[in-house]
Amino acid sequence: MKVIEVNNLVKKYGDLTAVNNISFSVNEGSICAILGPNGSGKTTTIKSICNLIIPDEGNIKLFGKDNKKSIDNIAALFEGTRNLYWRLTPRENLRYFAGIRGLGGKKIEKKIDELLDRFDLEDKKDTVVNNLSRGMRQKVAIAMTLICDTEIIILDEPTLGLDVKSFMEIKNMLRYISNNMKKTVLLSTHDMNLVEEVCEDIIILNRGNIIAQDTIGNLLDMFRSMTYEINLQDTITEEQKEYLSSLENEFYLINDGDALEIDILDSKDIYKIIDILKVKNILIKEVKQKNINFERVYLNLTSGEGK
Amino acid sequence: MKLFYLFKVSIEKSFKDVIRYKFNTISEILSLYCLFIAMFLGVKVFGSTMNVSPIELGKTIEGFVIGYFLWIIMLMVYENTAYSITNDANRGTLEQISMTNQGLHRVLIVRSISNLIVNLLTCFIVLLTIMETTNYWLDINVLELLLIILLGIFSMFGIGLIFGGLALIFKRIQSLLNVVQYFLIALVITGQGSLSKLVASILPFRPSIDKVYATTLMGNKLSDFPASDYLILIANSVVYFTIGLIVFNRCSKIARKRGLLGQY
Repeated sequence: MKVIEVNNLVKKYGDLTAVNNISFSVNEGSICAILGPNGSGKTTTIKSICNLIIPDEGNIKLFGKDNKKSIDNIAALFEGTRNLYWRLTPRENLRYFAGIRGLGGKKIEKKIDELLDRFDLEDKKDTVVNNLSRGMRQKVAIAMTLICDTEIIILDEPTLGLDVKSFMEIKNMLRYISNNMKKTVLLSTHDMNLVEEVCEDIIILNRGNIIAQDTIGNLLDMFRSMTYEINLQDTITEEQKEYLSSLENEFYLINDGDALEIDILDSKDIYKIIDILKVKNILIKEVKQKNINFERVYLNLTSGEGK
Repeated sequence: MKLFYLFKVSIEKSFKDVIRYKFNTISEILSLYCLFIAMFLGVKVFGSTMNVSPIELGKTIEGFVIGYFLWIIMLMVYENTAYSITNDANRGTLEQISMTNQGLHRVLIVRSISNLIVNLLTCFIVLLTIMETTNYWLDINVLELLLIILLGIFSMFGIGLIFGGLALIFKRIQSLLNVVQYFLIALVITGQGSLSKLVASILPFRPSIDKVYATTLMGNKLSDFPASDYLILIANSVVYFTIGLIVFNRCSKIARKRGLLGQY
């Protein structure tokens, strides 16, 4: 079931088109990443879904209803903002954000206890947020998005500036939210490790347009079949390097010139590549299909190289 | 029930803000007190040197005290909504309170009412300290005073919402808020009878000011006022509140269209 549907969304700020007629949907229970370089339109898209920005054109539906009328279904955490009141404790913050949505009483108190316990915040429940570490604050902020039991959780850069331990904790929180709590998560991040480890569906934006929209598995497969690593018998010379750079195909020198990396559109093209290398007597030791990570896929797509 | 929980958490937060921002709370009370003493002494000295009646503000020293008390209540109410927005935008919590199903305006109004309750306590502390210092003890019926203020104060909430709406779009509206302070002083110090009945009915919160003067200075009881006076007082409150609500919602829509909500 599609829980978020974005249809022909357009948003302009004066002459700048932040989002240019994009459409996508997010399936129930999935963790979907919305990616893109700075200024690609991610935050505008996310804030439009949260009804914090009114788009110029298009519409957004949550569970088939206009997002303005179904904002009850969304809780969000935004990048670069505190999201919490620093003079209140984690418990008080959770109670406050439940209260402003009209929720309270014993049920909410029980839920607060559960969340604080689940995310290892029990010891800090009565410490004002101001005195918590950055990682702890981020955990409280994510717990805050869960207190109202909304179906959709939107997280904008949840791991920004966190140390390794906090990063791992947030990653585990995301898995728990998706697997155990069965929430639909829309995640915006620059952290490709996080994307590769927890996300299923990917939307990549660039300059306000969607340049890729698929499952992470498909995107990885697509690039894995086209990237080859060619190990050389000798380190490449300056003359050979000059020759390679003059060619239409783009070769990447890796391992201090002992190997080359090449992206090709068709597997059969590898024979042509071998012929090219033969011209300048570049001797090949080994050719192997590269095991690509998602960061490379992302860079290929956003730099306009991906097809 | 939704409104009850909203009010409950808002009042809890207001009290916690007062307690946890201790320095701010104490300095606020002190500054309000010092400002009064400075004005009070200034008026006295001015009156003595010019050989005129030392007290023109509200005609009596009691009038001056009660006028000051009303002024700080009005000030706290209308500034609260605007500052509430700029503070939340600074803290990065404006997006969160804008996403509630209850609507941003409702959250802000309930929060302002909660703050008013806490601020009234502050005002009473300042008032008692002033009365002790000046040795002018007003014969105040607190319940009657509160009733008149609460009936009329929604006009000031309306003004607060207008400025809150402007704060959503323009962010820094401090200069404008300062100007309004002086307008409020004029509103309070203008004595009873010096304004035509029509003007006194139209100006925000003015019907309440007149009734407060009448009860505290002239010893009138609430039952002494005709029903039409209450009608004017409530109508004044409702009209300004409604205008404030319309302007705020309009500004909120503009801020959402321009992508300004939460952006500081």
